[in-house]
Parts: sequence; structure tokens; C-alpha cells
Amino acid sequence: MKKWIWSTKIICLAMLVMLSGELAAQQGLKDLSGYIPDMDEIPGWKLIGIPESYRGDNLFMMINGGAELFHEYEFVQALRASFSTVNENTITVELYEMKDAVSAYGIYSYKTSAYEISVPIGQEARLEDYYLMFWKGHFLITVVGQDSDQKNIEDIKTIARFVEFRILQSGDRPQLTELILKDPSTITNTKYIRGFLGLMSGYAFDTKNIFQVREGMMGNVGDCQFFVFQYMDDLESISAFKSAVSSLQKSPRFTNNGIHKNLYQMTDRENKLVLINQIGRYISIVIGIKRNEVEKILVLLNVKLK
Amino acid sequence: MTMCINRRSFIKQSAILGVSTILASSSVELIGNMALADTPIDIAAVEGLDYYKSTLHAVEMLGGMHRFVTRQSRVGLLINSPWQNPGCYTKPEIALAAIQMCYEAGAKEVGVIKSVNNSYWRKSAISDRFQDEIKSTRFIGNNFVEIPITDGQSLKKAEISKGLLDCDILINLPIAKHHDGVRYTGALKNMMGGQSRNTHRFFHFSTGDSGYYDDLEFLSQCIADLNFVRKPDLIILDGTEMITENGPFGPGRLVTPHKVVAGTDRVAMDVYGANLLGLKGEELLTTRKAYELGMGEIHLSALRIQEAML
Repeated sequence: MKKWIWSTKIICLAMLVMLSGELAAQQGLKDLSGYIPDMDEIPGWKLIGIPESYRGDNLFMMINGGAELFHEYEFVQALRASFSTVNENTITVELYEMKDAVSAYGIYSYKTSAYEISVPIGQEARLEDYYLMFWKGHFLITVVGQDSDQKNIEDIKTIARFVEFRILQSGDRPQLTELILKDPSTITNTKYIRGFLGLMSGYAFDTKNIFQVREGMMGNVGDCQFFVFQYMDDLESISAFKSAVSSLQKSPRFTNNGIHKNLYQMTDRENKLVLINQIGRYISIVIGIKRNEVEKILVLLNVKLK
Repeated sequence: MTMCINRRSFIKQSAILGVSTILASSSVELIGNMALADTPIDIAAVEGLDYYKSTLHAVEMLGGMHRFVTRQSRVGLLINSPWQNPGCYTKPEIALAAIQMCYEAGAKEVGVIKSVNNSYWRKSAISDRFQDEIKSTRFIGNNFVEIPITDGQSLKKAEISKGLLDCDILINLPIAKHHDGVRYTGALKNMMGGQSRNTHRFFHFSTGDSGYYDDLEFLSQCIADLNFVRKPDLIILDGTEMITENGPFGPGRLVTPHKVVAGTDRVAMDVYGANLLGLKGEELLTTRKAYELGMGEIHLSALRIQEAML
């Protein structure tokens, strides 16, 4: 009986929330506090103080050295709210509004990994031992607890679902992501990147952005790592390829360098083969130990890109 | 994160251990029976679930806090505290142990160079026992002065907290954790906690054509150069529970070596700390550049490292 009453309450509340959210959207309101549960809306949890808002460069005040990455993905504004129980257990919710759904998906893909468990919240969600992240529309949401016990995880999910209900609009993943992930796919751990910091998290080709990356994907196929960078057109891609090759030829990090037309190869310090291919408006790169696997994956990627 | 015990029960367990330690004896008595080596060691690493006790033990292995803190001295602490997520901040138990040891060694005053909120102390269940110490550690980092960095390669001047410059003894209390930009943050990078926001922006944006930094060489060099400002007298590094991704603010996957590491060589400490995260510390740009500037040893094999388990 109690469960039924509780479910009914949740549904009614969700409807109210959707209506109020819609009203807020119609009025063009930008106050993110409307997306989080209010005082006493989550049984057993109370909102602590006033939620903190951050816009533009002020994100630095919230996450300091982490702000640059968010700006790389075109951050707009954020809100942080904390909830606590009588036992002083806390859960913190952070909403990050990005420029568009592509940016929101991008930062989500960057900050999550295949190690986490996929859960059906928002457009995609991942659950770790003590936190959950999801994206929906223009938003990345993190819900972080202080504990990994089952009750805490359930509360994290409940709060996440509250926020999810209040975000009315969904959005599309980047076209490049769809292109790379279209079937048949053995690709895992993909991340959509929007610049140098994202790229550096995957592989250090150089300490500078020698590929002039502004949009790309990276991930794994088996034991190999891959990258695809997308440019405005063929000319820009060719220019980036030539410029990067010029830097890589001088780099002490790589040996066995060789180039044939639009294919460059080298070996890194871990004795991995690196194949770099300029193809149309893209540059595709595969890194791995076994040459036949690296070549096979490069062909697979290039088929997707044609 | 594979945890045998959950976070809350772990914190409770640590708290009980910490409190029992305090009740049972002072820090000096606690470690009075330890068999210390005759020759000084470079790095002391203590593994255990009671971080307060591990901190006492690690510093004692180096020769005790009285080796670093003289009577009537003013001590400045640089604590990496302003983060909320697990594995992102130096554990309060470590900072509390450092404060207590400073006072026991005869410090006249202990201040914090980067402001520390009350919410930080509340993250530790043993904070209640240290209310007097917490109240006495005032914020000393609110005024900045511009100073030249004559030997800097990329950083020629910086706005530095007067508290960092003026204190008699500087103790750096970083956490070893992931950082999205420079891959790792520890002792060298924590010194940025003593600089102004203007200087911080210079580090990140000065060569960025895109408006955001895309030159890690420059950023890493600035971090190394900044360390010309002042060498910490002691570093106590949190290697207990740290994020391995999404740094510096998380949340992210955790590793839990449960180690408190003490030493004075900032380069070696960062190499050791990075290794705890599974990185090759000697290959990090910041450690390499600091090593090239003669700030410390990058080869751990050249140092005397003592590890203990509580």
C-alpha cells in the first residue's frame, strides 16, 4: 500500500514538474534551480542552503582546473545543489547546461567510461560505485553520493530521475558519433572530443594541438586505440595532416617514420604501430601492437567515413 | 572501485581508530616505540586505514615534526581542500595531524594559505576533537604581491600570497590525483594554491590561440617555474583515496592505496604519487621540467624510501 501511495505521489509530482518546467521554458527562463528537487520533495532528503549558480568564466570558481575542459565543450551555465539526511549523509547534484545537445553528449562521453554500469536514465546514463552521470538535451547531470551502499545508490537514482523528468527536451548525438558507431560495430569506450584537452586524455601525440583538432572521436577496437578527426573540408584535412606529419617527423617520441601519399606510419615508445591516414575531410588514426590488426581497423574506419 | 567496506563504514572505522589514537596517547607517545633507521630517509610512506595515525607515523619516520618546525615559528599550510567529491581533496585527518604536530613541535601560529571552509573539516569525524586547533588556524593568504621569477623559463613574474612568502615554515599538503590538463596534480601543482587568479589565468591562457589552453608544454613549464618561489619545508601527500579520471574535481573512478607519504623532495614526491595512480611519474611534463630545473630527483631508485604498514 505504501509503495502504491509513493508511486502515485511520484507520478503527480512528475506531472507538476513537467508543467512547471514547460512554463519556465516558455518564459525563456534560464534559472536552473527549477530543474532540481525542492525542499522535502525527496522523502528523507533536505536541500542544504541555496543552490550555487555559475555562468561562463565563473565556472572556474566552481571547479577550478576542470573548467577549461567544459569550456572546450562550450559550457553555458551550471548549478550545484546538495541534499542531506538527518544522518548527515549527503548527495550533491550538478547540472551543466551546454551550448547544445552535441556538446552535452560530448562532455558526457568524455567523463564516463565503459567501466561504469549503463542505467536507463536520461538519454544515456552511467553509474559508478558512488555517483551517476547522465545527459539529456543540452544538459550533463552528475549526482554524487558519499557512499556505495545500496540505499544510497537508490537515492542517487531517485534524485537523478527527478531531474530527468524536468528536462523536457532531448537532443541528437553528433553526426560523427552516429557515423562511427553505426553497425556493424565492435567499437568500445568511445568519446566525442572537441579539442586538445579531450584529445590529450586519449593519447599524447604532442604537447601542442598539432592536428588542429576541433571535432573528433576516439575509442577502442579490441586492443587497438583509434581516433577520427573531422574538418570542414578536404583542404583543411590535408593541411592539418601535413602540419601534423611535419611535427611528428621531428618528434623524439616516435621512430620508424615513413610516409606514402596520405598514409603516415611511425612507432611509439611502447613499440606500438601508429598509422595516420588522411581521407576526405577526416584524419583517421589507429594505434596498436599488431600490424595486421591496426591495418584492419584502419580499413574498417575508412569504410565508415566514405 | 572495488571496496570491501563501503565509504561510510570506512570513514566511521577510520574515525574510531583516530579517536582511539587521540584518547590513548599523544602523537609523540604513539610513535615513541618505533624503530627508526639511523640514516635519514627521503620519502616515508605509511599504509593504513587510520589516516591520522599514518600521518603521524610518516612524519616521525622522517625524523619528527621538530626537524621541520622550530619553536615560536609561524607555519603556513597549503592544503588541497576546496573540492567536494571523494578522492579529490586532501583528507582532513592528514591536515589535522599536521596541525597537531606543528603545535606539539612548538609552533607559535599555524595558518592556511588557501582558505579552508568549515565543510572541509566536517568531512572528518575526528574534527570534533580538534575544534581548538581548527579555530586557531586562520587564513593568511588573502594578500598577493607580485614577485619576479628570475630563473623561470616561461613564468617571469607571479602574484603570490604574502602568507606563503612570509611564513617561517611552509608545509605543502597535496593529494595525488588525476588532472584533465597535465594528467597529474600533486606537490608541484599544489603550489598554484598560493598564487592569484591573474597568475592562474596566465598559466592557462597565455599562448592559447583558441582562447583556451592548448599548450601543455607552457602550462607545465609555468608550474615548474612557480616552484622557484619557495621550496616547501615539508610535503605530506595524500595517497589514500584518489580519482584516476575526471580530475581535478571528479567524480571519477578511485584507487585506494591508503598511503600517506611524507618527504621534502617535491619532484620525487610527485613521481611517487603519480606512480600510485598507475602513471609513469618520471615521464610527466611537470616532474621532468622541475627535474631539469634542479628542483629534485626524478629517479626514485636514487633515493632512500621507507614504507611501513599500520
